[in-house]
Amino acid sequence: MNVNVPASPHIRSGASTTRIMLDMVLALLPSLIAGILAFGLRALLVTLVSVGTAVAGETLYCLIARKNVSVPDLSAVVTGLLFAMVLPASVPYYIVILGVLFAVVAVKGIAGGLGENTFNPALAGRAFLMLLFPVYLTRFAAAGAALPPGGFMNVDIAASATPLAALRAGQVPQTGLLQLFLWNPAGTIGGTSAAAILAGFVYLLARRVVRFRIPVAYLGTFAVLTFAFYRGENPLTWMLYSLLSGGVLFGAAFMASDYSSSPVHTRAQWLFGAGCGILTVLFRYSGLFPEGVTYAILLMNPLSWHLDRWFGRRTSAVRASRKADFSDAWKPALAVVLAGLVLFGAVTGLRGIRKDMEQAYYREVFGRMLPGSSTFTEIPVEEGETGIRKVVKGETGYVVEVAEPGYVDDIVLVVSVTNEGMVSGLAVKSSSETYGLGGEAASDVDFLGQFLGTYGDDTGKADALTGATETTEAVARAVRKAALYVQRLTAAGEGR
Amino acid sequence: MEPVFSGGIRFALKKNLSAGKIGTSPVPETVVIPLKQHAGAAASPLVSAGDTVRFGQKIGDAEGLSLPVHASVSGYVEAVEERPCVGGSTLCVVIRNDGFDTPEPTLEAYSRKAQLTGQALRGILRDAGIAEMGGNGFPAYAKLGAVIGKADTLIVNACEPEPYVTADEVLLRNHCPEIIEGARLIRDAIGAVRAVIAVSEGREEVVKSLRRGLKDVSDVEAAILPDRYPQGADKLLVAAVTGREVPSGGLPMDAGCLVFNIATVYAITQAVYVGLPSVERYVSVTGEAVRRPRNLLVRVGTSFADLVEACGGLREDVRKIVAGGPMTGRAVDSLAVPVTKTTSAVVCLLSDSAAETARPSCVRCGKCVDACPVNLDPLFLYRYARTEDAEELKALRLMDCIECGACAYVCPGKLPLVETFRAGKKILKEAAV
Ligand code: SF4
Ligand code: SF4
Repeated sequence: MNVNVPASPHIRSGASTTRIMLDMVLALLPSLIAGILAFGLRALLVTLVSVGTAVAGETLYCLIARKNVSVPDLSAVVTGLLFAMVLPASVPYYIVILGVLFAVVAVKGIAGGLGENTFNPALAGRAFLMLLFPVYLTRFAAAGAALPPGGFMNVDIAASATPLAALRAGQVPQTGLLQLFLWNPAGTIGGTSAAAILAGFVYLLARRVVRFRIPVAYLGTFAVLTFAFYRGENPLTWMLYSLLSGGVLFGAAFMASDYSSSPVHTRAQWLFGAGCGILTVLFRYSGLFPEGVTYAILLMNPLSWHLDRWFGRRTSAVRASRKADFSDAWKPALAVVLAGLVLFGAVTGLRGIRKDMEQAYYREVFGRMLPGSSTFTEIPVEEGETGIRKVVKGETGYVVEVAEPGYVDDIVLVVSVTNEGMVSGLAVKSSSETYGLGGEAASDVDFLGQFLGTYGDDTGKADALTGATETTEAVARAVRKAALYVQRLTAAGEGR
Repeated sequence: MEPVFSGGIRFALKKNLSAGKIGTSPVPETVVIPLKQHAGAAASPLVSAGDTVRFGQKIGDAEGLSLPVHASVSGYVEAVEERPCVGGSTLCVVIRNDGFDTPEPTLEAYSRKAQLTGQALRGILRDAGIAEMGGNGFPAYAKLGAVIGKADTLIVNACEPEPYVTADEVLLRNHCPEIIEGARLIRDAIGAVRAVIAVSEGREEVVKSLRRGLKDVSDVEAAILPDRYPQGADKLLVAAVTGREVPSGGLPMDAGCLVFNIATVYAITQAVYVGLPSVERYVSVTGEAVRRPRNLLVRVGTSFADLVEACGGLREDVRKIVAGGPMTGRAVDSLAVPVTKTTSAVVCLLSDSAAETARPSCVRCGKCVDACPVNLDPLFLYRYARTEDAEELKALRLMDCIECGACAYVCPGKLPLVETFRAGKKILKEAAV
């Protein structure tokens, strides 16, 4: 007779961690498919790299830390998937690898593995990358842009403005609401279709896997706040656009409700979700971060443990009485202050590194635009100037970043002007003129080339060469503005 | 019914395997009677090898919180020695059965008409060696003695929430009048005003039998409780029947209640009206690995092997044998162990759904929090029991844990929750000293 004699209970339900994780994978599939349809092969490859690295990283970590390899529970697969879903498809592969390793090793592994991590690994990975490579994470590939499956992306060319960018500027985006709901490929891989996100969420609900209170509280608070503090004409429209733009839907459905980093008690879950909602609105409106969702959830994460303690503890075996006990509230308060200090330190420290990287970048890019210059220093923009965003001085001239309202949104140009006042280089930094008239102008080398060698006032040339559209005119205006600005600067310098 | 406890679980009860089926009682060649079948001190043997014993003769007894043990057959004592029992090796009296059941002459019944005082009933219960037969085997006399004049409600617990087990059902279906009579007897003896028989609404036949039995009875009530595991737990039962709360760390008597398992009540009626000490009980021999699952009226000391034999034997591929219900019972690795006063079932399973996983880890899914019937946070308890943090364990009310196993049942991480909680309780006790 070969019988087992462990402790009671001797029967268990069929529930298993692997099954839960499998459900998560299935729930993310619609979003992944939408992402692949929108951004092509590269979206799939980014996802595969992310998942592969997550699994490999976790295996390696478990081996090194001498723990049982936890890969069979599929949680690394889920982390990898979630991480890929919050990246733009245009992100370079090495960045994906770096971020996901940070997520599975630093955030999850070192904390003690599945269930022990305070922060959501995928979001923490994303935040980590935002500190190091902000550009790659906030430049989104244009709809239908043919992204090369391999190699590095030139983000400046692939950039397109998202509806979120419009919202941040206080405008209602041009895209229709239904369109935005069904198909809005202008952001992260997983954010392509709100419908796909909802489909996955409903599946999780049906499987009773998801903590539904958190997303409900999150989106509810978010909706109420955006409705109350609307911009534009109609609060409802503003609210709906706010809900459907950016990562709030995906974040609420799949990130905030993450088991390990959210509370287990009902009340604590409501509060946690509401906290995420409030912080997201705060971050979006204050413009502190490009997208509030990541930081909002990450800020709430360490509170979940305390929320459970404060609002979860039940005092009776049979009655539903609870005791709110705030005696240890100073701990999280201290933690928040400390986290703030660390973040501040990191940001300040990184600013130095970023400065160096910036110089290298300037030398590389601006050096080509302004022959003869090798050191570049940013100088303040003169007061009263509209449209001039940034001015960098080199030995032989200036590089000016200038924004001009286009057909859809601002067109941002980088124009180099020599000390003599001649336009020597030109690049489009950001443009949403993809569906509008003359959208091609923004990336048309021939069209842009015609401004080179001019002194900005030579606008006839532009008019003559291309049919005047709102976009081409905007580009011409921007170039002129930049040239005149530099000419004024140098004249002032000579006068001194 | 209100109020209903929050949490708890529902699962396939699988009671139909054995429900309503009664088999012929096995006649064991030898019985192995443990001297400790109850909570409290073990009894000391009163016989030695070679002695002749009669059916119902006292073969062990002890002072203090303990119970006497009686011979369940007549014959001669083969040995007094350690034998494997449920829960480990125990000193046992081994009796070779002569098959005559020659009764001990001192056994006598009380007149049905006589009104028993609480103290008199307490004495009978002690002499008859009756332990609480549905739970931990706490001496019934001690339980009863503590509430004389202090409780207003007697609850007869016939909920039997464990899957597979139907031994209590047999009593309600076949011995309903005795149970009602017993309830009255105990109620009057302790000076209570209410007697309530609690059953689960999920067992239709049982509810029907009880309703039929109580048709012309006005002084004993029925409580038909929601079908949810573990409805039979004392605290939950008290809340459901009286709406009162047993204080944390307290007993039903603190809420003015006395709770007896239905098998205990039946044993009490047998002792009072027949003069029979606690030497036999109904046992469910069931589970997918048993060829003909049945309930048997079994003499204490009969080996599991004899029981299984009387039920057509075991399938070869049996994976687990549990003494008691599968949620709270104890697994055994040998069929040589004997039935005791508290053995409600022998459940033989083909699959081991509770088999340990290589890497149990908590995903913090919170399912255990929803499942716990007494409002505990098993995931946090587990964490603090592992780190031996007595302060937190106390704040989280670990002592209220009834070890029902609901949390472990639902846990996808397959954590050894109940086991860890038992260890945690030890830590708490040590910390209190
Ligand atoms: S075993 Fe204890 S903690 Fe687990 S569900 Fe039962 S009472 Fe709650
Ligand atoms: S059910 Fe198990 S895995 Fe889920 S929170 Fe409770 S202990 Fe953790």
